[in-house]
Amino acid sequence: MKDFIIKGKTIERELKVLLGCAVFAYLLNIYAIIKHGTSWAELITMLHYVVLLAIAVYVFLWLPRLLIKLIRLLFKSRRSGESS
Amino acid sequence: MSLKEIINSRRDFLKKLAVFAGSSTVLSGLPWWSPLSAQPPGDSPSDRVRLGIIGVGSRGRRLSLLLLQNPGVEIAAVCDDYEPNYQRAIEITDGKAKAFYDYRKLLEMQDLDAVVIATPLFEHARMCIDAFQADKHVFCEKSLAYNFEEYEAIARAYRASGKIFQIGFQRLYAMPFLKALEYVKSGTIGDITQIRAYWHRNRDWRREVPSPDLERKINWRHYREYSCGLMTELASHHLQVANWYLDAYPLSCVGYGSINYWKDGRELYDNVNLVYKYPDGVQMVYDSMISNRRYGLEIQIMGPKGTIEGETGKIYAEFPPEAPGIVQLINQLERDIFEAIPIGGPSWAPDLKKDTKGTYLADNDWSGDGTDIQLVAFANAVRAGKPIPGMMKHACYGGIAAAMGQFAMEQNREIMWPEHLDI
Repeated sequence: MKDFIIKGKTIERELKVLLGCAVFAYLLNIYAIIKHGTSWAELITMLHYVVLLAIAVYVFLWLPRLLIKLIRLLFKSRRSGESS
Repeated sequence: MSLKEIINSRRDFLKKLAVFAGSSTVLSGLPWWSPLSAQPPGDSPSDRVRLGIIGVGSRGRRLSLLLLQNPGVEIAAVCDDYEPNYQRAIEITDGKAKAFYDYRKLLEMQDLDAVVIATPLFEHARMCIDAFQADKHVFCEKSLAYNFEEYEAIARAYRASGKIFQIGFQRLYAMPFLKALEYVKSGTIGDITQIRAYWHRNRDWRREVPSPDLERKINWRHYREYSCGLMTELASHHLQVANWYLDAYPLSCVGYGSINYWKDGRELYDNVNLVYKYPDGVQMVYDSMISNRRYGLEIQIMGPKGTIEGETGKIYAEFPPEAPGIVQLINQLERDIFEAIPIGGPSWAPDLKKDTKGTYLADNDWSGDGTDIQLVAFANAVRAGKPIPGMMKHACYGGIAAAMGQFAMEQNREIMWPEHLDI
């Protein structure tokens, strides 16, 4: 069986994406509080919701990211075919 | 589980009940709960209340079985004039209780403290009055009496006797209804503006008859001579709750009834619809039928701030607190994405039932319908020799309201509360 190697760079990138998702979810919470005029305590009390939302966004982002990666791979293989 | 084990577990139950009754702020304001604060009786025979059961049909049997589990009660006598019930009564008590066909013989027993009456409605008044005159405390199943005059006669006999009386309106002891009362009194749902109650079943409500000449005796609920049918057997429970929560009796009543499905020779209606008028413009709308059970039974206490459903044991806020902002935002996004955009649809939102889940009224162990607790209260009151305040009032108000409904449907006119009665 072939071993998969996940490079440190990949892990770092994924963590950055996840952090981005968390920031987005947190900002969304702030926007929701302002829009609906609810309590600022929700910045703390709804943290579990923010975490879940961040994970959901992160998972949801996989699809477009996978698509982009596939397109890139396709172009890369074409280019390498042309140059040879 | 052996009877001894049942009695021991029952003793634990009574201890818990005593602690609970003594500590609850809700219950401290209800006089009929005060006998439950008493500590459970000991093992001495002198601690036991000696009871006689008059009427050991289905309800009488249930009451007997609950009483047998009470270590402070001894069923000393049983009575039924229908042979299978008579034999069943002997069987239930292992032949230890004296058995009678005639309740008057039972009442002659000098060493009997109290009687439990669970006979057909038309016999209640005569038996209650005779029992009071025979110096016995009385527990009587609902409804208490057949007509207005009988209520007056029973109340008079009760006052003259100075004995203890308890009526079989078990919701007075059912936890969801007690919690509901707390919400009503604290103004959580606002002032009550309407009460709606219903009791629906889908069966003929018949008992098997071994011989045709016993039809009226066994299926007495279907014949006007013996009963007021759905009104006294079912509606009286919800009318009692309405009177209790509104702290009033109905000023008048109108209604219609008919036999539109079970056309089997019965005389009493198989579906009824009534409106009761209470003080301050409050109405109670009641209906009952035995040809559809989709909606079962319920009593809905409604006010501008909320609704209480007593049988389900839930309260629904009219304006529930707002969901957190982020939840609202996500719900909005969901709606925007998944909901269809109406083209040429109605310009108004239909007032369909709100699909809120509500909150349970009671979250403790007392999940029964209140019958068992009610019997404990009666036994404790008899043992202590202290009356249970308010019971005759509840019995009369609930029962008279039920009878008013029957009269309104039969006479096709508005029936006023019988102010002239001395109850």
